[in-house]
Amino acid sequence: MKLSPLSMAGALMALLFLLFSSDAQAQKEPIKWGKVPAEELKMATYEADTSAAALVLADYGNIYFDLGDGKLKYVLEHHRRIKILKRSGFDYGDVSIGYYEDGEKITGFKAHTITPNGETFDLDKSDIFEEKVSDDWARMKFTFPRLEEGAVLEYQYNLTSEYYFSLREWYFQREIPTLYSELRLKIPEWYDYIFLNQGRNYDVSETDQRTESIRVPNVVQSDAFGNQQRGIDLVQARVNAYRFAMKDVPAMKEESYVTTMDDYLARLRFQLRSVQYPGSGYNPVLSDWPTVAKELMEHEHFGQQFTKSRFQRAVMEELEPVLAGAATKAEKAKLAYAHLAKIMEWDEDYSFLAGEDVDDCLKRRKGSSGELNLLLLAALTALDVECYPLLVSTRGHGKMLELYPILNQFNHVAVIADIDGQAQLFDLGSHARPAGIPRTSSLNGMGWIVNPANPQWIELTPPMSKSARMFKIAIDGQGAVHSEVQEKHEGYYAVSYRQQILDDKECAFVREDWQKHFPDTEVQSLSFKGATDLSEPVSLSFQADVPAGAQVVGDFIYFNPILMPDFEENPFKLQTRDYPVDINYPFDLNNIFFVDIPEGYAVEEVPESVKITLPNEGGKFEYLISEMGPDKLRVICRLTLRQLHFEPADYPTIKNFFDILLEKQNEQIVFKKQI
Amino acid sequence: MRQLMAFLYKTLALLALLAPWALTAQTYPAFTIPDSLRAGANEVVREESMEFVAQSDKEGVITYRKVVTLLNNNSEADQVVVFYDADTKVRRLEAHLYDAFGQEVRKVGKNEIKDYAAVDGFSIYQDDRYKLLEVHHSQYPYTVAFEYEMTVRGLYFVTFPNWAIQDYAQSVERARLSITLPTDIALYYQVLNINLEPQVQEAAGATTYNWSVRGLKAVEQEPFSPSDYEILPRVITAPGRFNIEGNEGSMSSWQAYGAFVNRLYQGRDQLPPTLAAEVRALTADATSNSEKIARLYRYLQRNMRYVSVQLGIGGWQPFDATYVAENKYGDCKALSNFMKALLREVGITAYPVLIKNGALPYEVQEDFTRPFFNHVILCVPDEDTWLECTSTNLPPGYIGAGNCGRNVLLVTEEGGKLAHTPALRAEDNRAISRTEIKVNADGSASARSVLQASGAEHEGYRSAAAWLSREDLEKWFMKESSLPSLHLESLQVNANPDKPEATLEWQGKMPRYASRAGKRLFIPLNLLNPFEGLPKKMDNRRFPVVVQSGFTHIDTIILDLPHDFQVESQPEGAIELNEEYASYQAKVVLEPGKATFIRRFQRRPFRLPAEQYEAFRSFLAQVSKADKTMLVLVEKKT
Repeated sequence: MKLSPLSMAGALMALLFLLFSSDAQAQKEPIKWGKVPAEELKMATYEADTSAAALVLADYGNIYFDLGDGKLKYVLEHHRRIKILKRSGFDYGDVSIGYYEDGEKITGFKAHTITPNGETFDLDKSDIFEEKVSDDWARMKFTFPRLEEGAVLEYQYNLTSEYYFSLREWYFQREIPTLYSELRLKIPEWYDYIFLNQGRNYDVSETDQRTESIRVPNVVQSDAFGNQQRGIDLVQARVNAYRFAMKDVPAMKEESYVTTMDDYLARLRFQLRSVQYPGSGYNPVLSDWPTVAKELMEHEHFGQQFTKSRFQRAVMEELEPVLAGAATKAEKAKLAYAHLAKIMEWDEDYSFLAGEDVDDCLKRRKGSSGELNLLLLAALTALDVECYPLLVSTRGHGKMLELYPILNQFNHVAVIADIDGQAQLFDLGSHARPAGIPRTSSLNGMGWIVNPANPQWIELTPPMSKSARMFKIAIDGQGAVHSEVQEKHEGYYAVSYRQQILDDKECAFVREDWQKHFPDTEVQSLSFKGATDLSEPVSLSFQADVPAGAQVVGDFIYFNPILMPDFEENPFKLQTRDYPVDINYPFDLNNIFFVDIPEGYAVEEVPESVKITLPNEGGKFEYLISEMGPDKLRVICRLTLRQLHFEPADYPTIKNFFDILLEKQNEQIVFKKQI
Repeated sequence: MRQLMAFLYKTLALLALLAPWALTAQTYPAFTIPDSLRAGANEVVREESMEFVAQSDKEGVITYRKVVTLLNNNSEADQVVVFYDADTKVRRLEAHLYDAFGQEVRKVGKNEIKDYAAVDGFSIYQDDRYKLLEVHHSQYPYTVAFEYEMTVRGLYFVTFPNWAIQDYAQSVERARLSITLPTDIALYYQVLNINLEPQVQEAAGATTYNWSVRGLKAVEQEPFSPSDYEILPRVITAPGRFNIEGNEGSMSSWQAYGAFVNRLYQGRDQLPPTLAAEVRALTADATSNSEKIARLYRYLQRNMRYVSVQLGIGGWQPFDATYVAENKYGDCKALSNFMKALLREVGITAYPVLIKNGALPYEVQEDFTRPFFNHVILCVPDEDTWLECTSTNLPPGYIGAGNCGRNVLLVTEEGGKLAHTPALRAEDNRAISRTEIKVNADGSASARSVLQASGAEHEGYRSAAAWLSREDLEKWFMKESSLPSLHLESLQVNANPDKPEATLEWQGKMPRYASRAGKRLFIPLNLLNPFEGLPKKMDNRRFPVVVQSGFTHIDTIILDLPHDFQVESQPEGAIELNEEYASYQAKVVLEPGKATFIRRFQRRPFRLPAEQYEAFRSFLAQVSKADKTMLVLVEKKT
């Protein structure tokens, strides 16, 4: 089956393969242990990508099921062959294979190095290390012996896993090119898996059905002591066989301003949807969104965390003194959020379940993203505010799949609540972030509301973040600049300034920021507002004295009014781009300068006013300069960006947009001495 | 700095009859902290006690307790990290949280301890792990009491306490270190940056040393300051005798410690016969020892790969040369030992060198022995040649800035000997560039540039040339470049295989080099290599100003100016700053249609008294200003 070409946006394709083609498993295995074709052994560079430091010659996986001892398990036979092309590719000689210590094991491991002249060197078993990474996750690590440029590395193992709910995902693409990658699966028809494929079309995609005998355990009889004797039955079942392969897959190259490269990699994921054994009923594993919502609400580590009165009592005990003066539900909700935001620390872990009960987290004053927001839900529920969990996959965790109720696509939960008839978003985890401003990592397009009565996907559109700064500027005959500055920051800018003020109550950062541009700047009369009240904008007011803010040369004063540029350099420096640009949130940066014409001088020349726009009101930059009466100039320098997603084809547009902005930021006003 | 033998203190044992440290039933309300200890502090150590009891020369028990009051959210003292390995055992690790009044809020126990592999990022495997216990609370001030106990053996035993009494922005009410060891094992110690003598007492064949301090005020960390080993109080200790996995050693002197390490290396430098023959053939026609060294070093670089595995005593003992020959990999010890074996085969004596690579907080001294090393290189004393055996691309004899100019320990048959690696001077670390920029009337420009770098300045280019693909090389260059919107047309980075030198050549277009405003053109003179990173202004500088490395930058930027323009105003003339620690000269030479900016900036390694901080800063400020000079052109009147 041919899939339609993927758009560069990496739109995720989720397809269920029900096709009946032929011969998916009758094929011979694509590679045989140690049998490396001579041309691959001799290969010195990879013509399609001469920069490749190493190359996956072949990656072969075979997944099948094993019920032999009564526990359903699947086995992944994995055989990989890598070619080292350059010294810088030696890192691919270090291998790490992760597994769950409980419920998974690796057997049949072997590895060897084949040098270009055909000599083979086996990996010594004593050079394999087992490392415990966390309580349940471990990894097997080893490095290949006798690496040299041109060497071929080969390893093979069987992973047996009880975690059949989702099989190991298969990557057809890596950070080095892949010549050939193939995955085969044999799945008894009793198990219905969803296949989620993204990133690239298959070169081979075959499906086949046959009847096979499957070994299943059976309790045969009890002996005199009541011990059960286990036996094996052979059961005839239909088995679906699949074969997927890709050829000549290019290397994935990292770029900045993307959600996560995982959104674009060619890979295949699996999720068990249902189980139905012959003669028994249909067992849905994945049901539908409403059922999932209902189950979540009853879940010990999710719904119960905010519906159980024990947890509600705990959080209300904490909040009671704070809520004392509040009259309305809305007020209480806001105060509850503000107080929890103040006292609770985020432990930097994402999760949508509570690993620990929320009352314990409250005691510890710390928790994962999920624990914090479930705690908030307990408070809002206790306050009788209509509120729901909002499940999210963060930007780093990848795109969400609206189609299937697959829970592990999420890694975070926020809160959506009805505040005075308005849907308001809450996301605990920072002392500086107000309601309505979720953490930037959760700005991944959408989220799913866990409401059994009406579960639904909603779009997450962050509000416009604004920064407005006004500078009143006076320049003396030596080029010293005195500037009175008023700043007002909203949205994410307020969060960032508030955080800086919380960390540094003297606001030394203001002086330090200025001194980065003008070494001897002194900052005086500094005051700020909005540092404690999260819902307020953050305002700053101060005076900056910049000894050499303007250049005085001969009869001229040259002065660039953009004393503190919003961008130091173009965030898009590279000339081309392969993947879309994704920006977190829309913003508006507005700078206004009132410049007194220095005494005894007249305006000789000013930069040209410009106004450029992106198509479809995606963005606007303006640099406008005008005279305000006989002794004053006004400069407006304003950047507004609404469009957050740019396809690679639009990359030059956004790059050029920033180029112009940076150019204007450097331009000078010229004053000439009057005689 | 002193080194004292235990017996000197036997007579002083009576002093130790003073009351033992009271650990029980003490509460720590925050309001009892005097203002003098609050000033400049993010946290106050109310009490710290580290007890180390060595039962023998093999193992010991560490009992640790620390009570700390966090004053604000800049403090990170709400956590304790305990490193351990397969030979050690952490027996008890817990914490109690108290509020500002000293009332216990809760006990923090087992389920909050996190356990991680302490991966250094380049080892394929090591058995080091750490436990982390974090106690968070939101209402400052609050107090946390941490306690743990661990049994140490092997490397964790041998590295006796290195007790940092105080951290920056931290004050200390009282703290103590106590070390007890069998009386027949000497204890060596060094006390840094504080006047402190231990109390010594002896009982039942064991000697106990006790250091205690009270009332240390917070110290602010300053830019360009000496390392904390020169500023903050600390007690460093080392055992007179120890035993790891049956290997006995001593830190009574560098000689003794080196002899111990030498025994660990012994018998591990046998080459397989085929390789021995290959090595002899490879050097058969070499006419000098230096040529033999170079050939064998090249052989090592071509064939071997750096892979680190650190297990138990494997942290100090190398894989033998045969293993390296067979697997073609090893860590710094194994590769140095292998190189030593190659050289031995052709009659050249070389010694492994224990060294601290990278930033050097503490320079080891003749009068105190404790291994402050993290790396091994090789020295051929007769040729005065040093070899970095983990590098696959450095020229023979060049060991890199991270190894240069420091005290190190040679491991010889006669034991350890301190030596000093060659230093890189400001004159050695050169970056000399010549750039021609043709500026057009619309502000666009095209440029071609050649840079020749040497010493520390060349190392980045060498690595880039060796490891980066074409595409990544361009990305790297663009990221490093301070030029606005550069369209790169060509880029070449070449490292000299035989000398620590590299060249960078590039050509490109800059659509927005100069800014055009009306009939004027503003041309920055030095966008290529402007000085950045001016340190902050300080009112009361306390510590000396220290810079450990030097460089020489010479940049010549030749601007071809557009026709129909004339220089409106002459930029300020030549600037020349000459100080002992640095010099900077810059000038603009104007000719018809052409402007040349020449700058020379040299900084030497130096140490200045605190009073000169402002002068140093003002020097840098003038450099920064001169580097921002602009040339203003105006259209010629027709």
